Amino acid sequence: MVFSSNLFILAFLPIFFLVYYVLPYRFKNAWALLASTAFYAWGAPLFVFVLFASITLDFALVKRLKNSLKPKINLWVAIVANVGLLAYFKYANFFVENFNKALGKAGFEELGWLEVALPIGISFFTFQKISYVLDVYRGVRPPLKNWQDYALYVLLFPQLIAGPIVRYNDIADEIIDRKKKINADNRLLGLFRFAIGLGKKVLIANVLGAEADRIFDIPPSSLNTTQAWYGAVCYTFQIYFDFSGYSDMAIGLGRMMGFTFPENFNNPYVSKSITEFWRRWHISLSNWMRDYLYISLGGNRVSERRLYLNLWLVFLISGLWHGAAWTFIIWGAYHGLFLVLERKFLSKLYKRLPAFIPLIITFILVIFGWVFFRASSLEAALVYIKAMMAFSFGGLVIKLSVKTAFLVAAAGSFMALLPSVEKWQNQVLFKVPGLLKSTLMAVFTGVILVICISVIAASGFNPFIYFRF
Amino acid sequence: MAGLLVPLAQQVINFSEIEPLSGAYNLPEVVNLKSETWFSGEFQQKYSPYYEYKIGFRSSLVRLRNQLYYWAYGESTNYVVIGKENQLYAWNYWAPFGGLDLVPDSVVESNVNNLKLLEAKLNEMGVPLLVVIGANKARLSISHMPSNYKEGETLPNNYRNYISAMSKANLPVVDFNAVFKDLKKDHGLKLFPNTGTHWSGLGMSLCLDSILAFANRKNADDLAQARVMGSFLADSTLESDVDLSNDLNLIYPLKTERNLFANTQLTSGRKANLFVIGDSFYWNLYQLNDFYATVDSSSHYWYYNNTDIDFISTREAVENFDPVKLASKADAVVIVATEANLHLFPFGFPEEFLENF
Repeated sequence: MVFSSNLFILAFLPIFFLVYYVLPYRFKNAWALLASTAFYAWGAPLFVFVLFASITLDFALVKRLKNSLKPKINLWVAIVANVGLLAYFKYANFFVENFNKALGKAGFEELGWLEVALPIGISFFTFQKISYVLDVYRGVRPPLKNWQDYALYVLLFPQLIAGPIVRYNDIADEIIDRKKKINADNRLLGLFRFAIGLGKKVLIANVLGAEADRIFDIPPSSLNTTQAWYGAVCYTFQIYFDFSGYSDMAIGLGRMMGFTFPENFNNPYVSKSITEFWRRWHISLSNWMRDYLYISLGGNRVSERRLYLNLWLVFLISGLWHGAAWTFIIWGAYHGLFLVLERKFLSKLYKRLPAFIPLIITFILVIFGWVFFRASSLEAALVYIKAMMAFSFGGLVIKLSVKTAFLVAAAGSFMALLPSVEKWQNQVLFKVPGLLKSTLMAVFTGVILVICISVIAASGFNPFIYFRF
Repeated sequence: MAGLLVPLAQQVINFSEIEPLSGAYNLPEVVNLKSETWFSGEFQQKYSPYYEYKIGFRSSLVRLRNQLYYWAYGESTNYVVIGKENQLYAWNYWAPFGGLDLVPDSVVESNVNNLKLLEAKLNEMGVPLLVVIGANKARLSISHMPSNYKEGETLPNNYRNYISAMSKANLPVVDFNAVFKDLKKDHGLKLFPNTGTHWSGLGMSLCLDSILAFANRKNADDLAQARVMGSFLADSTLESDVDLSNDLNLIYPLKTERNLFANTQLTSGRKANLFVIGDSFYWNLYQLNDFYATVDSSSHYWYYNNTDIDFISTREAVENFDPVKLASKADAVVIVATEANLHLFPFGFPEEFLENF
């Protein structure tokens, strides 16, 4: 079930919250777990049993960490079990396919293999589960006492399928006690945030997504440079408004339930380097990678050469995390390469230039990266990039509705360049509103929800890009 | 939050009467909830899109979205193209002008050869054959379409190819694109309703006049005629004048401007027995009083060569009739197609007739 479907907005959501608010506090977690299970089972009716088994195993292993003589064994069993599930369900097809290609080239018979279906959200909740194991192992937090609370932490429906990656430490207290946070202010701010996210998805990302699809579907021989750049920029805005819209909705829904999820985006396209981009883009993934992978590899306390290798490796793995395809691996390696180059010398060079030059360079680098991310294959990506570099310019015919969405996306992506915008964003999104602001927020939320619901009703069904991760 | 429950309440108890949407759509398939359909995910996969069609107030929500897009961008959400000065176009009438549904030359040649054979067989029976090409609004007022619909005609296209091939084959053809091109000098855009894709009352009367005049010339006895003597502007009363604005599904429908109707003179005589195979441009004629005064109710109209539609719009499969028998009783056999349907022309009728002959 996707947030931008009327099945979710007009059936699941109001019924869930109606019961959630009416129930006495002590039953709220149970209801949230039940609804989250139904939500996940809707998309993965069989895998939900595997997930429950895995949750039970984690819970049992972590509970024994403190009392165990060899806690490392429990730790590694839990990590291997989680990574193993991810590896099997997400990467087995990819590895067998490539292995078979190699066998075929060497003249051997290919292995028989029944394709494994990818359970939705597996990349996200696997990282959350690992964070629970590691946070408890590192003594950051004590383990949860109830299986039901741990199951809720993993299955909590707002963040279950496409993040943000909520680490155990982020919401450990709120799982146990958030009574004070279930209040009218958080309900309003949460619904307001949900409406903003839905608007980003339905009114901008979907419109630009259709346009990007139209351009990426043009046969390479007919694609001119203008079209190629236009399609790539449309996708650049689409993926930002799609994914950040989803994160807004998740954060908003969490807030309505009394949870405070971590922020996932902070105006990434105003970054003046790839390093800064990754501090602003998918922040919850970057932080997870830094705290649980990069630091585990030695962090900054290694030789310079090893540091560069580690950085690059982290991004290679980040690429692979996004999808089992060479395009994602290359995308990760590409970002990792620029991170290393920036550490080595590019950052120093950028500092000597006027600020807008590194900003433009970074944005262009990000666009090229998204071409790999969007393309159906490595060959298709290279052909597309060739068209971008061919300097064979031509005309473009764009509908007014698409032009408008494009301009709003551009304004929304770069508005943080203006002074005080980030401060203003924080005030609007987080500060408890007064009466006037509450009224304005309620009206805005109502209008956006009605418009989005009507657009969804008229145009059908649109899944999120990040669902496949 | 409680407001979000209102559509669900409407869906369940239907407390408010809502005007349905115009136009046809296919309701997505839904499967019964059973353990196998649930665990295979088939139920969920099919139920989600199905639910979008079943939500309460769906038609109001769709109209709201369409109205907002119309106000904000002057755009529609479906095949209706909103042109300048509130002229509406059906997208599939522009597509052939842009050569997007081009049929191969060999198909055109073969179809025209079959039409010649059909004409020869009908002549043996003493029945004339006439081809009528309906007027294409997009072709005749392309300059009023949005700027992303290029004005230049793409060559080759089906219209040019068929007109040229039928002319070479010496088939009798009335081309209303050519007729309307001449009339446009006097009447401008009024030859078509601004909110419809079919011709205005004047166009329909001209078509009826042409068919009857042709049948009369080819028959020994006098058939009743409805001669077009002139035209006048009047408020639209015809259903086909608003077919596109209805399909826009707006909250505030576009205003239909006054349209051209014909001043006609009826002459006495026997009502014509016509056997017509064609698209909706002929069906439009059912809206004219003159039609019933001049065309006999024993006539037959085969819609796209699929469905026989009588004067009270009762429908029957054409397989229940013998085309040779019907043709033998007719004063003329007429094939009517507009440019949007030339990729289907002549609807397979000549082949079926020749098989039955």
